[in-house]
Amino acid sequence: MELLRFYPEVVKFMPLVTIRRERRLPIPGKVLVQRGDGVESTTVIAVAEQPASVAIVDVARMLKISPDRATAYLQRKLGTSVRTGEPIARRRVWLGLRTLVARSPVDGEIVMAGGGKALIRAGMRPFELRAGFPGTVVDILPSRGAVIQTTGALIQGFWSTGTDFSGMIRIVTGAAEPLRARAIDPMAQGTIVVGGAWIEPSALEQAERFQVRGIIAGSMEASLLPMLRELSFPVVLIEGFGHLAMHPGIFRIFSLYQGREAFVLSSPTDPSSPSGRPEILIPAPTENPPPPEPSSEIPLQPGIRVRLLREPYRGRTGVVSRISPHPWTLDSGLRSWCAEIHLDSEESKIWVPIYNMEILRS
Amino acid sequence: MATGLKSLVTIDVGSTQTRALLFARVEDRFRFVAAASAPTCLRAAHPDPDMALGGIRALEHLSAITGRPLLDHHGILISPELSNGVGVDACLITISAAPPIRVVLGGVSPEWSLASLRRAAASAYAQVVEALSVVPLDGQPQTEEEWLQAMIAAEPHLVAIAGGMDGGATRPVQALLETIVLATRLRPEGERPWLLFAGNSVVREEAVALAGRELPLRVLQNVRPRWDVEYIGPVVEAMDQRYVEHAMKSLPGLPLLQSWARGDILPTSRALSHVARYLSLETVDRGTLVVDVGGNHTVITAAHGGLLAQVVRSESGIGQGIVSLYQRRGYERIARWLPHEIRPEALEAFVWTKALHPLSIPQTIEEMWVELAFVREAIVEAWEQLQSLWPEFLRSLRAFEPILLTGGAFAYHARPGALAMVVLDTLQPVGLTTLLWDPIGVTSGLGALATMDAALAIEVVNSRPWIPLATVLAPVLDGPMALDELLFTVEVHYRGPDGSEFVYEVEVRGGRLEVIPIPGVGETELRRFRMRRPVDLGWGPRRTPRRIRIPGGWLGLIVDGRGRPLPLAEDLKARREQIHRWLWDIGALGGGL
Repeated sequence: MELLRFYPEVVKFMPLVTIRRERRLPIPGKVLVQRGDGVESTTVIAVAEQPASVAIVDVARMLKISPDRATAYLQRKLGTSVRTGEPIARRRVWLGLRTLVARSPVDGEIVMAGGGKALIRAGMRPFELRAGFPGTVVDILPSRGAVIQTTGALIQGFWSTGTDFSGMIRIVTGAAEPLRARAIDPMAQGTIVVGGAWIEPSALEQAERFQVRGIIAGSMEASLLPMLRELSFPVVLIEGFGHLAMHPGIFRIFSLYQGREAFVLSSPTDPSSPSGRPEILIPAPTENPPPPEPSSEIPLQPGIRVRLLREPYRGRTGVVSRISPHPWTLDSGLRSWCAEIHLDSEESKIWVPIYNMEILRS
Repeated sequence: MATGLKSLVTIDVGSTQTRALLFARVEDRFRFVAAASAPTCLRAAHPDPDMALGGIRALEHLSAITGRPLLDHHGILISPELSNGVGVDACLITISAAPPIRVVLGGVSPEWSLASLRRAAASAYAQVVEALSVVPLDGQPQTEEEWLQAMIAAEPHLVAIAGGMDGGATRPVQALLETIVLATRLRPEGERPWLLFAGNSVVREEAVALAGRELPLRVLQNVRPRWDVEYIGPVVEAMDQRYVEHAMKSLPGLPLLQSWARGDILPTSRALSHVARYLSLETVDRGTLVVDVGGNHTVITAAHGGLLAQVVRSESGIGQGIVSLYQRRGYERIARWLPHEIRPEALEAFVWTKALHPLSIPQTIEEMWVELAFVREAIVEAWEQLQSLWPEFLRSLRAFEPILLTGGAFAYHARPGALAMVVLDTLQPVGLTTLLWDPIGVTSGLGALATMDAALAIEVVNSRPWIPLATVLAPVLDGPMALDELLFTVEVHYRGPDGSEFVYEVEVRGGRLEVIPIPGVGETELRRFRMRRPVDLGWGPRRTPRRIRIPGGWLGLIVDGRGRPLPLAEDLKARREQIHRWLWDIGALGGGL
């Protein structure tokens, strides 16, 4: 039998790489940048509008006519503005002695008339798409957005509260040390606080008090999720929920860029639902462009570094030494192809289902 | 329609895994040959999420397993089959990977037209984001302006409008229609929802005139032409089509897979309903249940005599859907199924790990029980919804034959007892039932095949591509019972193909599960029931046929003496002991197969 190839998820953390990211509107709109433009993180690169509210004016009923005749009595063209109380249609009755009037109930714009009714759009809800990080526009997505490129560090995390943010990196703990209140001092104000291991509840309260821009840490108890909804700043977890320390390689990158500005990109989804991985970009201009970001399709093979995802080895890292030729029955009673992992800083080797690991690409 | 196919692959693009199945004519019989799967590349972490990649990887695995090349050097499916057996004659695709479409329902009355539309929406990958009703909902009248605002806020992919019996009053549904058409015109072209009109047939022409040429309106058969008649099939079909269209636009790579397929992509739930309908025609006196628990959807399909009741529960499963499932059901409901203690923090960590790494699987037995607890709650929730939407249909069915388990949650298990217990705990079948198990996801492929060539699909179904998990005999008692109280005895008579015979007498006791191994070959009958309590085995209290023939299976015969409804102990410690005892009884503890 031909050897099967497996492609577990890939997590990247790279100190210097060329990064390209697509920035896309959720609905069609207008793109404001051009290929080659330089952008800042706050540059609005595309906009879209959606009606915020509308009002119906039943012209036919007000003018006492059949719906199909109503359009003939409209005094305003589609697209024109109207003020509250302003007539939009009139009809003279009783030999011109009396006039029936249909008035706009709101300030707005007449957008449509049909079925004897006029529709007035009372406001637009604008949606602005920002670049999210400084870089250069290298491609345009017509009506949707653009592709932006930069160079610097890239770190992919596990979970975030779902908003984009940026700030100066301030490391306040050691790599394996939990983030406690006492680690956060007034100097943390306006910075992204980085903690190595898990976040203690007291640290969240202290961070709120000192108005940090955000927190990046290894992990957090999932029971703190309701507390996060009350906070004014976002949180990014690199490893997962529970008590897990940040991978030393990732912590090293943060240390390397201590004091630099980082930009966190999160998937624009409901914060209470699992979104895509948050990404931390730390731009670093270079004279010669660094290599492009490696592919996310890497087949599992001996020698590859992995991080283990499920109990009893959750959070542990190691190197693949071989892959089972056939599916095995696990203690759980499931059957799966497995890989033998040589755990870091241990002599022993363990067998783990191939999809219970992610490939670490650094 | 006979197609003369020699070979076929089906690709099911699920939210977590993409499964490829190979069917081929082998020794003059068309049959299932092999299955393989690969991760569906959905996560935003993937810079180029690509549905085609999952399909290609699954086909690569299938080629490796079978030794039959299916892809050319460019990764394109080879079709039709070449004279040297390379490639396949056709490819069919089913999908459940796309999120559900957002749907607004508009009806005249909550009890009639709106209720019918709700049943239709429940049968599709659809999320009802708004319901507009002419007759007040919960006593709250809605104005036209409120309908309009609701339509704008909902940003639906599809709006279904119904109301009025054929030839009845027209004005109420006209007003609803006018407002919905106005709101639809407000959306930019290309973003407008499909409009389905399935109301009073007298209003059809007006609906067409109102929509004009620029709005995507479909006029369908009235869902309630008479008070006692309901046709939701056309609405479900239109929702299916919209779901596939939405998936094609939103899931990169899907158009490439579609270009390989013969015919349109089919929603997985529809493929499952085809199989359920066919199986129900085999056992006319009882219903059929097909239960599918996947990563983000749970689907339960009940069928009887070709009639269907189906619930497609989105954001429910053991992948990405586990977070919403947990938020809806809560810690207590999940933890009640566990034989061990788990702290809420640990359970939440499990939930998020599973949601963000949906491909990962339990490695320890403790995590397996947690995952199966979620499977139980996903089934309970969908089952409750099915019962509330189709109460009379389900009341009319006293028993199901068979109950078929499919989907990622039931894949690749080596503890069949644990799976059987999931069904017994949640669906709580009564009387005699057969449990069939689809460990590799062949059912959706069969349903897809049925749309193209029903005769071939039947040929494969008749070869029984599922594993007979167990035959279940579950009595209903007239009142409470004590643990280990003798309920009845029965003799199991077995005659082997070599003429050998043996007889066991089984004592069925209260609060216990009895498992009697039955060989897969030979003939087995249940005889001489001796009742110690007036239990009902499906034929009425104390009544049983003289002989009941039962098939063999992996587990054999399970006699569930625990009673209905399942009496879970209130006390935490007692309940854990109870669940541990039942897992022991059914053979789910200890080593796997």
